[in-house]
Amino acid sequence: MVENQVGLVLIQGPEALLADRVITNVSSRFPNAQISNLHADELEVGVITDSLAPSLFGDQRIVVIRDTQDLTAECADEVLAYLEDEDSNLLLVLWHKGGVKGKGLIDKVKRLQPEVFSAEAIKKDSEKAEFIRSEFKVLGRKITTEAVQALIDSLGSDLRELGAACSQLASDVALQKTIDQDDVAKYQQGRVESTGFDVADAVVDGRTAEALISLRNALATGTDPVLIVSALASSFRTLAKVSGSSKGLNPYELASSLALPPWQIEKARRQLSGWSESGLSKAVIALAALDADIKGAAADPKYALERALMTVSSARGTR
Amino acid sequence: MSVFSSLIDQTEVIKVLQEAVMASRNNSDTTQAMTHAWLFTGPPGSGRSNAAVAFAAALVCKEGGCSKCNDCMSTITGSHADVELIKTEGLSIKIDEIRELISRASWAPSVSNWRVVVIEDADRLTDSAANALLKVIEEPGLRTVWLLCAPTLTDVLPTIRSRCRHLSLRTPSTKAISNLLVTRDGVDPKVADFVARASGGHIGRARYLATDASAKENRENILRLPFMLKDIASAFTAAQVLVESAKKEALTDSEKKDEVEISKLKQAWGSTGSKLVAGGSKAIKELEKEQKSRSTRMVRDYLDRALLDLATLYRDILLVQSGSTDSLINQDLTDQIKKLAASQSPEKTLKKIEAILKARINLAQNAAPLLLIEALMCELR
Repeated sequence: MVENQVGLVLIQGPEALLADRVITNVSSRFPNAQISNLHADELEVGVITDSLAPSLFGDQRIVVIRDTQDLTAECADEVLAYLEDEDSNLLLVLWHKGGVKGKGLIDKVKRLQPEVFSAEAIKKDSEKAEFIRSEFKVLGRKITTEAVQALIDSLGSDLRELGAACSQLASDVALQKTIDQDDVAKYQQGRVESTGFDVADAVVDGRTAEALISLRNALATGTDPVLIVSALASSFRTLAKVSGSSKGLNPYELASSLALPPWQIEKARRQLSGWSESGLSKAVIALAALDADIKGAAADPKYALERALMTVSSARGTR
Repeated sequence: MSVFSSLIDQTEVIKVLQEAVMASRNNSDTTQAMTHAWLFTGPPGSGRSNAAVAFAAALVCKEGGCSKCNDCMSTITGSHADVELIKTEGLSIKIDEIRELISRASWAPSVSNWRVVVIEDADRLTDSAANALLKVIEEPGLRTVWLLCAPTLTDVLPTIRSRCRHLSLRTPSTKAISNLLVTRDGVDPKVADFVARASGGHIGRARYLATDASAKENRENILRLPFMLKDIASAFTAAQVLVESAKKEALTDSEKKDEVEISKLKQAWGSTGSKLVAGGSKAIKELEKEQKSRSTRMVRDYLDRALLDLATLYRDILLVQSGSTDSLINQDLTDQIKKLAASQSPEKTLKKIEAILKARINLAQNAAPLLLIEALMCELR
């Protein structure tokens, strides 16, 4: 076993912000080191060997290989060849985003007992809240629960933006003051992230105004029109499928024949109350026309979306 | 026997082409029957690319298209040194491919009198690729001829259209197709007559329907769909069945092909195992991209055929509604067609046919297949 725990760092997980922090962190141990950043998917054979070769004057160096999972077999061999004979002046940082790709290399690396850091994706709201609180803790500030939630609502999908917003709030809001909802609103006002599914839910429930607001929010925060249409289509697909089954049947028994999870069947049953057969059919026909519109048949996809939402919404309640 | 005898029911076009071949062999010709760029249009299956290839063979053949000599045979199989066939199994022909072609196209012919470039899918040229062609089509090399094929004139840019002499092939008659199937492929006359009608004038499709059992079964399954549309849930089930069978068909066709192509390419990059020469993995990624575009196209083509089959059914219904039962296409379903015809008005039938044709247009413009078919089934309900 090679006795070198300083020279090898392994980062696992897809979250770029966390991985970057680890990289900055370990790099700061050697302030004078020369850093080379390599991206696995752009590497030609030989580049790794080149970067890992000993330096003539014995300088301290740091080599970071990002996206290690995408290394070709040849390049992975180069890394392994280096690991057989490590350089004490070199810190090698491998960032593996997860999955089974490139697992062979990682397993071998792990046997050398590297420093391991986790950069797992933060998906759940509770994890995001945890992240925000720890950010403010590090910055030495206090924040109210409502403010945490407001931050998640407006920036939750991108951890990097979330982190940046935290440090901005911490530096701008008067010292000693607990950061509250109003402070968040001052910086993030009007920005609400919404997805195609929020739009679809509002339309299906007949909340036209909310649907239009969600649509504008979704478009403004970068959701692709195609995704909004496919969310709408899949909602109506579920409604149509469920509409054909007898209401007396247990959703758990229906789940396999409809290929839908039971909770979706229950939700669809609730939503179906406002929809007649001809209403559903009108809605789906409008959605197909919308699909054509956003793929070039209409001049302005945003307007096409709004118009189609109105059509679909008004189909609700038709007999 | 001439190369043109493979064209079915196209006497006028053959006459024009034969005159052109005659003129091309006569240096002091003043008839202008020959020119440097031709555009063949005609509905799918009418044989426009066959016509273009036959013309190419006749131009490079020393006998003017004998169909027996080396020049003719190699043109038809696509290996003649002076004849270049451009076609795609993917979604489009890209500008890079055309740029490469342009420099080759101006070389002098090597073994025959003409260098011929046949673009079988001129309708699949991207706009930029078509624009790149403008100059060479207008003034090609002294002995270069361009032959472009497309379903209709509007499928190519007006600037390309205006640079070509246009030849329009017609839909071959049902009689001509069934005759061909009987004499060439030995199909039973009764079957031949039926598939000639069901194919809607598409020679290749008629032959496929007559000789391939699974094609026949697929068609029957598709035509069964309109009869099972009761409530909205059944419409969605029908859509799911149709799209899934399209995907399955495309997958079984492409999977084997894909694998063979990949392993061949890997071999070409120096390995059968894991190690490739530098650049190899990039080439493989590109091939995979092409394969993906091919399978998207296969799904689309399958759905398009299904939509056409459905359109013939509603055509029959409309026919029955207007009091005629003589020339039904789907004679195997006469009873059901009569029943459906009695249950709705001709206006509705017409609307349904319109919906099917609209769906075909949207399908070609990158529509989401499942949503498109679902909406269509709702309209057919």
